[in-house]
Amino acid sequence: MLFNSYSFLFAYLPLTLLGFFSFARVSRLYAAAWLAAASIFFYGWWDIRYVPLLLGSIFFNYLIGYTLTTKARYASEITRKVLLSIGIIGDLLLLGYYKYADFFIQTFNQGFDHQVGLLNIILPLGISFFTFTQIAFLVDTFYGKVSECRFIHYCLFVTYFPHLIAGPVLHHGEMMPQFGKKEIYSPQSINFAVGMTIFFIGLFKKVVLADGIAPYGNSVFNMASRGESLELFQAWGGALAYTLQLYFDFSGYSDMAIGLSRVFGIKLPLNFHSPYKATNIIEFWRRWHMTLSRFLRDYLYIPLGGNRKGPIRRHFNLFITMLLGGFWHGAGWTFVIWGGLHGFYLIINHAWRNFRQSLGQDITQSTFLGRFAAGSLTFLAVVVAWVIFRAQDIDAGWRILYAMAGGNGVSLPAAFTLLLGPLGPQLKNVGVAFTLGGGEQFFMTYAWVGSLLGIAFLLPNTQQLMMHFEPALNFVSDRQASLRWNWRYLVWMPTIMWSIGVAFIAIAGLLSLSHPTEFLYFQF
Amino acid sequence: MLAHHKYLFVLACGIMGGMAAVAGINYHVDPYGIYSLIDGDRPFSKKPAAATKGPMVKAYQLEQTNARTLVLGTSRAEVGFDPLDLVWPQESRPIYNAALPGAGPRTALLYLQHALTSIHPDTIVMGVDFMDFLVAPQAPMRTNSLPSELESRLRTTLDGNPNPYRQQQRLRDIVATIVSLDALLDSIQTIATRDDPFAANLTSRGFNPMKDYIRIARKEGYRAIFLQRDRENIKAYLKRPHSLYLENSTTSPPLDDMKRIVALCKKNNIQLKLVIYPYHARLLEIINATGHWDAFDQWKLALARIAQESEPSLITLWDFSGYTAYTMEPVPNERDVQTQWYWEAGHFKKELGSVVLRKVFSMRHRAEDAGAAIGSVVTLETLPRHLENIRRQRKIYWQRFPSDVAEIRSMVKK
Repeated sequence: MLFNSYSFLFAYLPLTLLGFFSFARVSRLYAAAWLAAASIFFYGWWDIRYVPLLLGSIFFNYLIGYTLTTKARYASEITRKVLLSIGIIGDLLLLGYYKYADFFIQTFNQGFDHQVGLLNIILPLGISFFTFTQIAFLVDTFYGKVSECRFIHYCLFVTYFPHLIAGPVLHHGEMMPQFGKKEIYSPQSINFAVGMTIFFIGLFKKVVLADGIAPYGNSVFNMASRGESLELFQAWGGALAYTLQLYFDFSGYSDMAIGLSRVFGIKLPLNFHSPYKATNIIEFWRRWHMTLSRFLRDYLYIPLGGNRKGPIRRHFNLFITMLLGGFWHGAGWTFVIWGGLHGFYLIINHAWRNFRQSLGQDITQSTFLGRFAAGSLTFLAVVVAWVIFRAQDIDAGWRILYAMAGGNGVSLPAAFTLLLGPLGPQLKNVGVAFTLGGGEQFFMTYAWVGSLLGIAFLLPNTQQLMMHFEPALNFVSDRQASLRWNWRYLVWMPTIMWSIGVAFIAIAGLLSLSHPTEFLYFQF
Repeated sequence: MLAHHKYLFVLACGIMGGMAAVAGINYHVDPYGIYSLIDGDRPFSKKPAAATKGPMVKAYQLEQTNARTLVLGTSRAEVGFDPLDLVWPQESRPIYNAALPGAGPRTALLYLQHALTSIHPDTIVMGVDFMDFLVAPQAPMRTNSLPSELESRLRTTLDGNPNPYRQQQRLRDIVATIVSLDALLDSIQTIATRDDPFAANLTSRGFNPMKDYIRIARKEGYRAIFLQRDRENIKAYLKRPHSLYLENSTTSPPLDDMKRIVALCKKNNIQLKLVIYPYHARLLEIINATGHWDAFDQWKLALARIAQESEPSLITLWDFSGYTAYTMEPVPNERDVQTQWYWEAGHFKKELGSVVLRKVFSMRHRAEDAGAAIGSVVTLETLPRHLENIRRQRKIYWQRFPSDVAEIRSMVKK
């Protein structure tokens, strides 16, 4: 079921809420069980065949976790490690089989000129996410960090419908205690008001903004995958359109998840914090898909040795973490390259910091111009990486990057000659070609790109708007945001003006539901 | 500051009121022209947004029309045959134009079946397009489990049974035309272009007058439009296979669909006038230069066979694809010179459509006058001579318009 569908909004959500709060009057455990059952129904709506897989994975991990906390609690270190390894390997095998088997067969076939038949496995939705959350649970159980261990709460933590399909990547430590709180079991108007407001903002971001700009990116990436040659403005238009589509799609989804969960009184962790406003790549990864970054840091980078084993190992660990993070997004070389590219960016970023520090500079100080230059460079690096990330294959990605670098020349739609006036002939002199047709496409692409860049760079994000109502778990109201004088008037309060404003964006969102489209992160 | 429950109350009222207002606007403006069928009754009679939504609009318009004559075919028929043209004989009115852009015989068949559930036309004028009949010899037979979006709103499925998905699609269409942002934007556009003489339109009789093309032609000149569309046509023809039939077979899916259309007409006692479009000579040259001419001739023979094998008194095949003063209309080089007959080589204006219709309705089955000025009835007997004639005229065209021919050929080579 999609958050952006009528069946979800007008049937599933009201019934689930009604059932939850009704059961809660009888027993909190019943209410939690209802919510878990409703979440499994939500999952089974796509493909009932994968429900046993999800349940099997939950039972398996719970069993191992339970054994680690009870029977094997005081067993020898080796026994406990064996148990943990069985759990992690089991999880990774499941993920490996469903997500990567065909990729490895294909790579093997290409490498050794063999013809091993593909398995044609359909990726079960959300498997990347529920595998990760459960690995984290096992590891923490091993280290004795898990206190709350009721099966219903565990089951609800994994299946909880707002996050099940595409995150945020939840941590049991922040979720299970919330299920034990008694306040969440009675409806609170403040949670409904804050939750629905966040949800409608997210819906707007997804169905109006992301779906609106999507065709302009898709057409360019499709052309590239067909081998057609692109010129500079086309390639940039497509790359920027996708950059913005992905952000508004995924952050819209995250907002919707956070908002929906808040209606149930449960706070989810923040997943996006205006990532494109980052002034360096390190900061970008603290603002983009934050819960995944957190997971990779705690369960991959730090166990690899983190920064404790000298600068060379540190860079190596960083690179491996990003490479695997890329591979997590999908079984394909484009994702590996994307991850590697970001690993490389991060290494440069750290090296640059060290260099500046070695010169005795204070890296916490910056000028506006410096921040602007650094922000532009960061954004450029991110866009370049997204091109590879989105492209059908490496060739197509390269074709777009080549065109973005001006390799195929520059051309403008002939319809602009009149608009440009005397500038037109001058542009011609410097080699700009004028081609028939495509004027509308050009205009629309850049109108969308311009407007969404404006929103992404100049406006406060959802969390900042809701800053007085603790919208998300790890939200820290940042100093810069509260200092901006023009944002002060934009901060959400339950007022008439806000209810009318939110009604407008809700209407725009609801009016755009007639062609529901999937969220991009469902495929990862 | 409001209490949170009051905030929620205002929000809910705002959303419901806003949605109701949008629904009201969209229903009243009716940007696709599916809720009120008579042009005079339509508060906003021009429907720019409907022009690109033919498959949906016409499915619903067909359910409300009382037409006695139907036009079927591709975009050439949609923009070429005006149901309000005075040349239509009195007894065949009213006319509804159910032709759809890009509609091959499969779509025509589907829409005809759909139409026949509610009306009983006595005449059908159907334009047929050569390109739709070119198939790859190994073309896989279409296995049809779920209907395409196009079929899903029609009353009958491809095999003629009631369509079980129709109610679902109807509901979706109502949502998409009443409570959607696209419909609201289209309503706003409809209101804004109300007085624009060059606004796009799809009339309540299914005709697309192409007024928007006039503006483009004024801005860019007819030559630019011809050239751009020539390029697209060349691209399309170069991609097409050269075969009319499947491997080891004397038929193909489009020819089978054609046979079913003919059979349906016979069963319902409908006069079917199959019209091979008056392609502009430049398009004929594209067919020639891309190596499709032999198949072009074979195609006409195949159509003639289908017509003849069925019910010659009901089914007539007209060929307008020769070289005549109309089809050889020169392409003006000057930006401010108008063409009389063609928008571009693939699409003729309703003025030429009028000439075609006059011919089609002025005489019945006089096969003997093959070779007349424009178009003639062709049969298996007259075709060989007729095709020979056209090849002869082609040579004359090559001599009279050497630069056009050279231009086309060089574009094909590129």
